Amino acid sequence: MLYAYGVVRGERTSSLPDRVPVMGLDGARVQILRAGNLGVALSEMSAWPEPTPQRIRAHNSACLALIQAGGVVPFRFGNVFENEQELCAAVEAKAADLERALERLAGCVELTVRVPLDPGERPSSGTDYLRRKKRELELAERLRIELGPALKDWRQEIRHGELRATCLVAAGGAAELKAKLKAFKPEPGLTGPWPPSSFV
Amino acid sequence: MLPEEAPDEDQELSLVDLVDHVLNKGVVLAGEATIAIADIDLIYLGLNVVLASVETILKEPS
Repeated sequence: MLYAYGVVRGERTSSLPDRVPVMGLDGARVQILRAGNLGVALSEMSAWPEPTPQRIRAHNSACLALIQAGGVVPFRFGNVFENEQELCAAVEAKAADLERALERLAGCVELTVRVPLDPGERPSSGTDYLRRKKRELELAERLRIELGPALKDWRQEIRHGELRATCLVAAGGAAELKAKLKAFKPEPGLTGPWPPSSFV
Repeated sequence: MLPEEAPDEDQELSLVDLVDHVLNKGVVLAGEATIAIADIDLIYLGLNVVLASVETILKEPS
C-alpha cells in the first residue's frame, strides 16, 4: 500500500531522495515515483493510516521538506493507493491541473493570519449591519496592502469574530512577512509556514 | 530555513491549523467513487474515517 504526500517536478525523480532525505508517516522514508512528467512523493504503509497527531505532523513535515527540495502540490491526508499503477493512473488523470498548480506553487508556503474583529453592539438595523461589514472589508484590504508585493495570492474569510487571511508567499520571504505583521494593529495571530494546501 | 516540525506546536491554535491544513485541504486523488442515479453524478469521497476522527485528534494530547 502506498501513501502519497504530493506531486513534485518529474525531473527531480532520481535526485531528490539522495539530496534531501524526507521522513514520512511512521518514520518511513519518502520516495519519489515518476508519473508522466510529474513525480509523486510516497512512502509504503502496511495498512490504511489512522490520522493520529503524530501522523498528521509527519505528513505536514514531509510536505514542508519537499518545498525545500523545489516545491510540492500537497495532497490531503489519506491518499492511499494499492500499488504504483493505481497511483500513477490517478496522477496522470489530473496531470494537467497538477502541473499548473506546481508551476504556481513551487517554492511557496502559506501563512495563516487571524485579526480579531471588534464584536461591538448587535447591529440595530440593516444599514448598521452593512456599515460593520464595510469596516471588516476595509480591515482586510488594509492588511492585504500592508503585506505588499511579497503576497503572491490571498484568501480571506470572516467568521467567529475574526478575519482569517491565508497568504501565499515565497518560502524565503515568510520570516520577513511575519516580522512585518507584528507592527499591524490590531495585532494579528499568525501560524505557519504551512504547505500551500489552501491554493491547490 | 523551514522548520522540521509544525510551527508553534505547543499552541492549541497551531494544532487546529495543522489539522485543518492536513485533513481539510490539499489535493484528493484517492478514495473517490462516482455513483450515477438518474444521470446525476453523486460523488462520494471515501474520507469518512478522517472526518470522523478529527474530534479524537483534537482531544488527544499531542
